Order: sequence, then C-alpha cells, then structure tokens
Amino acid sequence: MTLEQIGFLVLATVTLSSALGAVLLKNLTHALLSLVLSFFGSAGLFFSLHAEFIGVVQILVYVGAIAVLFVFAIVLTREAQGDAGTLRHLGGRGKILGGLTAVVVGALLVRMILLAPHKLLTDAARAQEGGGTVGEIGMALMTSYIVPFEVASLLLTAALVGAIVIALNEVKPAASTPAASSPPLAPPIGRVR
Amino acid sequence: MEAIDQIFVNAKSFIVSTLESLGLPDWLTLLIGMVLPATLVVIVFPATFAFLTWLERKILGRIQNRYGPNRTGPWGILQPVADGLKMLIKEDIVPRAADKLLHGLAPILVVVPAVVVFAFLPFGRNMVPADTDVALLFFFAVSSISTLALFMAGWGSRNKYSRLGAMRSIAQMISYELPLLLAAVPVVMIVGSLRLTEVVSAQATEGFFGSFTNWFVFTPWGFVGFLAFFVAGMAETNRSPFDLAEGESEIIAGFHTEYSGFKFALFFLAEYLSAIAMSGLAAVLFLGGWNGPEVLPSWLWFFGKIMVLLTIMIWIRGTFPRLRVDQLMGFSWKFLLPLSLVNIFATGVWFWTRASIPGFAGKAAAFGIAAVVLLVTYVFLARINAGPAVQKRTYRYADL
Amino acid sequence: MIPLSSYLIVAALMFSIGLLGVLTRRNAILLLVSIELMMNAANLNFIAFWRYGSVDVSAQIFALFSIVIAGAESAVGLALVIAIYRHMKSVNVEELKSLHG
Repeated sequence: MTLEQIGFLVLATVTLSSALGAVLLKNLTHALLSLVLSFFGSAGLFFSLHAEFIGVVQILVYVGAIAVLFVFAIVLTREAQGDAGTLRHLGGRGKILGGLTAVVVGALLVRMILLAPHKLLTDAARAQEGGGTVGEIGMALMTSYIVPFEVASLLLTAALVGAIVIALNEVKPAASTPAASSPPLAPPIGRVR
Repeated sequence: MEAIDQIFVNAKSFIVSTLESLGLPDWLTLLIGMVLPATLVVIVFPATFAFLTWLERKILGRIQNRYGPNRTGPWGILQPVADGLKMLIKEDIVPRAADKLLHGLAPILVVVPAVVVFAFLPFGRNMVPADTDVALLFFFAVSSISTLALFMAGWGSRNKYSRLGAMRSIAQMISYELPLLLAAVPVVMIVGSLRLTEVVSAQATEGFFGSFTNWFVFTPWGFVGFLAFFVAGMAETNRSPFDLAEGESEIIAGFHTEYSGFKFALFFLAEYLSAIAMSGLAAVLFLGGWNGPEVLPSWLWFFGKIMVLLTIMIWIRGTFPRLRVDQLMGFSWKFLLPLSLVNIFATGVWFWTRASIPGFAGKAAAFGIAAVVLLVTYVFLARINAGPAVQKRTYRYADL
Repeated sequence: MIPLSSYLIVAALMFSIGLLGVLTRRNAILLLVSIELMMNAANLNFIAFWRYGSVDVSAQIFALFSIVIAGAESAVGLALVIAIYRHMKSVNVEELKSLHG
C-alpha cells in the first residue's frame, strides 16, 4: 500500500460518501454541504491526476460560485427543513424503481470497466508525466480553441442576463397609497450648477 | 547579510539532513520537511495577529482622541493575552434551536482558509511553503470557501439577525471577489505566470535601486490595480468600512451573534488572519514581495510591508463611516468592476507601447498613455456614480 | 501506481449516485444538485483519460468548458426554480404538474 494508493482511497471514499450524503440527506442545507465536500473530493482527485489547473478551477467555480448559487436558491425558497420521516422525502411512487435503475446502471458501468480487455485501463505505468501546465492550456485556449472560448463567453452572458430576468422580483408600481402620492415636503436637491 | 537572509532555509535543510543521517525512514524526513515551514507559519502569523489586535486598539484609540488599552502591562502590551484568556474561559452557549452541525462547523471552516492561504505566500528569498504552478489561483479559490462558511454561521444560528448578516455577507463577498481577481489579472499578464515566486522576481532588477524601482505599484496600471485590490481585499475580509455583515451598531453582531467564547475567538482570528493574508498578497503582487535594498533581510522587508498595509487598514477603519449595503454593492459593481476591466485594457496598451517603441521614449509613452486612459475612466466612473451634489447652504445667525 | 480503471470506477459510481438523486428526489433544488454530481463524474472521466491516454491538453480544455457550462446551466436552472417558487409556492416537482396531459 503505497502512499499514493492510500491517498487515492481516502479521496475516493470522501467523494463517494459525500455524494451519497448529498443525494440521501433529509435536511437541505446538510445535503448542500455534503455536495460541497464531494466537490472538494473530486478536486483532490484532479490534483492526484496532476491536473492542478482544472482542480483549482473546480474549487473556484463549483465551490465559490455554484454552491453560493445553491445557497441563494435555498434561502429564497425557504425550504430549509426537509419533511419528517425516514426516507419518505425520497420521492413517492417512483423511489423503488428509481433506486433500482440507478443501481443497475452503476453495476453495468462498473462491470464494463472491469471486464474491458483494453490495456489502457489496467496498465498503471501508462500515466504520462508532465504536460498540461497552465501555459499550455492558455496557449491552446487562445489558438486552437478560440472559437469555443468566445462561444462560451457568449453563453455565459446569455445565462447571466437570462437568470437575472427570470428571477427578477417584479415590483408592482405603487398604487394610490397615501404615502406614495403625498407631495414632497422639500424641493428636490439637484445639481447646483 | 546572506546568512541572515537565508537563516530559515539553512536551518530547515540542516535539520532535515541531520534527520536523514540519523537513519529515519524516507517518508518521515519528507513529512518533517513539510511540517517545519507549516509550524513556523502557524507560530509567526497568530503572533502577528495578537500584535495586530493590540496595535489596532491603540491606533484607533489615538485616532478617537483617547488612550487605547494602557492598564494591562506597559502600553497595554499584554492586552491580547488578556483578550485571549477572556475568550477561552467564557461559557460556550449554543442556542437550543440552532442547527448543531452548521453552528459548530462554521467557525472551523472560516479559520481553515485563512490559515491555508499562508502556504502560498513567498515570505523571503527561497521561502515559500508551497511553490505551485497555480499559486495565485489557489489563493483565490481557497479564500472563496469563507463565503460559504459565513453563510453556515449565520444560517445555522436560527436567528433573524444572524440570517440577515449572513445574507449581507455573502452578497458582499461574492460581489467583491470579481474586482479582486480582475485587479490581479494585469500582474499575471505582465509576469506571464501564476507562480508567486516569479511575480516577486519579476519586480526586481540589478543594483541597489533596482530592488525597488521595478515594483508594479509604480506603473499606472499597477497603481490602480493596487488600490482596487486593496479596497476589494478589505471588503472581502469584512473589515471596516465594509463590515456591514457584522456591524456592531446595526444588527447586533450579524452572523456571529450567537457565538460566544472560543468560537467567537475563531471568527475574530479568521478575520484578522485574512486581513494579514490579503495584505501579504497585495505586497507580493504590487509592492515587490520580499524585494528591497540589501540593508535588511528579505523576510524582514516582507514583514515590514505587511505591517505598513495593515496600519493603513487600521487607519481607514478609524476614519471612514460604515457603508450602507446598497452603497457597498454599487461601489463594487458600478465602480470597481469597470475600473478593473479598463485596467486590464490599459495594461495591454502599456505593454504593447513599450514593446513597439524601444528605449526610454517607449517607456515614457507607455506610462503616459496608460495613465491617461485610467484617469479618464476614473473621472468618468466617479461622475456617473456621484450622488446629487450637496446643496449650497446658507447660514443665518441670530441677530443680537 | 493507480490504474486508470480505478478512476473510471469512481466516476461511474459518482454518476450512478447522481442518477439515483435525479430519479428519487422531489425537491427541485436537489435535482439540480444531482445533475451537478453527474457532470462532475464526467469531468473526472475526461481528466483521467487525459492523464493516461493523450499527449495534448484537449481533454483539459474540454473539462474546463464542461465546468463553465455546468455553471451557466445551474445559474439558469436555479433562477427558474426561484421563479417557479414565486408562482406555485412549492419546489416539490411532484406538485408541478399543470402541464400534465
């Protein structure tokens, strides 16, 4: 059991168990924090794969931004208390069928990976060394992948505007309430010029 | 001078080599080699935090025309000891309705990023605990965890004021993260690397004057970037005048209302350590890191720069009133963000002017053009964001 | 050394855990959480194959764009959830059946 294998086992256990917690926990905020922990676990897996830039971007974007989005959604929908009861929160009629489907899919995938005869999957020494520095990624982003880069920025702008417009609180214009339509008591202060 | 400069590096290699010659297993020497710088960081920076609390109370007291603490020891120097003792022996009251997991985990999650970011700062020549390729990005990623931790603190306390404080603090911290990152981007552009040791070495040239004339703060984009970074850093760490989330006169104590004793001490520690870390990063990015004339060792220069920036933070705290929440957000989104974006553009202009016109004329032209672009943007943004002008006042005195 | 199949198994398990969440959770926000888990598993697959198979950084660029799109999608998805909550006063997906045929 080398140090590397112990590290990988710890990271994999943390990621999978917190993913399980995110999916099964009753309390919404606890589920969200479990998701954040699984993001950290997978960032750790990225670091162990020597992809530091992607790992750091994962923490920055997923934990720093997406988790905060989820926090705002939880706060604005006030559903911080799950419903009581054991696993009753896990869907109505479909929960047995859904669980079975997920288990079957997972088992099929794992079996496919374990039985694949491709040497790539089992030969541990094929891991390539070096490569993937930040400079290379930046160069690739600006030369070969410039079009997806610009399209992604357009997409983000569209998502930004769309999210703001969808979630905007439409403030109804003040009706004839006494407070709103009384004349101002003093002349408005304007620019002295 | 070389010996004093590298005293910590030499001490560490000496200890590691003696341990190796004693025949310890490989992994143990590696572990001890990693633990030693971490131990030094954990000893030095909380000691700086204790000194900083004393310094802050003395300076704030003098600004407010009173003595600071002066009873506990000469000049009140033992005040941090008294404060620490008080916080440790206070009773830890947890409200009955509080969410125990969130309430208990939040102080720890606030302190962890504040301590971890010190691993990426270069304290002196060859003195970085963790010299990674993506150190700057790591710094920002880890400090964005404290946003979630503050939310946990406020939400788990099941208290109206805590929740209000938590919401305000999340809104403030995410809106100031953008100018913070964007203010650091020109530095990365010019240096060409995210490695903080390279950022520091790019700010030094040969000779006595070379150690401080090349700092980025003396360029137009560096100056604006430094100001934007410093202000956004103060807002990120919830320091006055941006401490609306814990405003002591408005919402009781904001997100740390329901915390007492050691947990409150952890919040306090986290805020000051983040302030020290932000000052450290500002010094590394814009003020030349550990560069300085050879009369003092490099780590002393770094420490001195941090102390100067912290004193400026304390000075600002004692001078300005607290910003209202809409003024705070407006300042970030309508002023700092456009300014940081134009700063990036000005950096590009500066670089290309320098590259296309050789010699001193190129440097002067670059400085001039970038300065004009930034000045015009600043005046434009200031005019846009200005509130209504104050009416001319006429005073009438009572006639005798 | 760790073979590639270990990373792929971790990613597959994370994907099926996300699938479990999507199929069984009733709260709309937790649906989005499970979708994020599935996208995270796909990213892990990309990076694992980059490390063990290819020689250029295309896989990392792909994972980067995947993270970007996950961010955009969760922003719009959560905005929709908030807007739905304002109208229907509930985020329980079993109660949102006004389009039910």
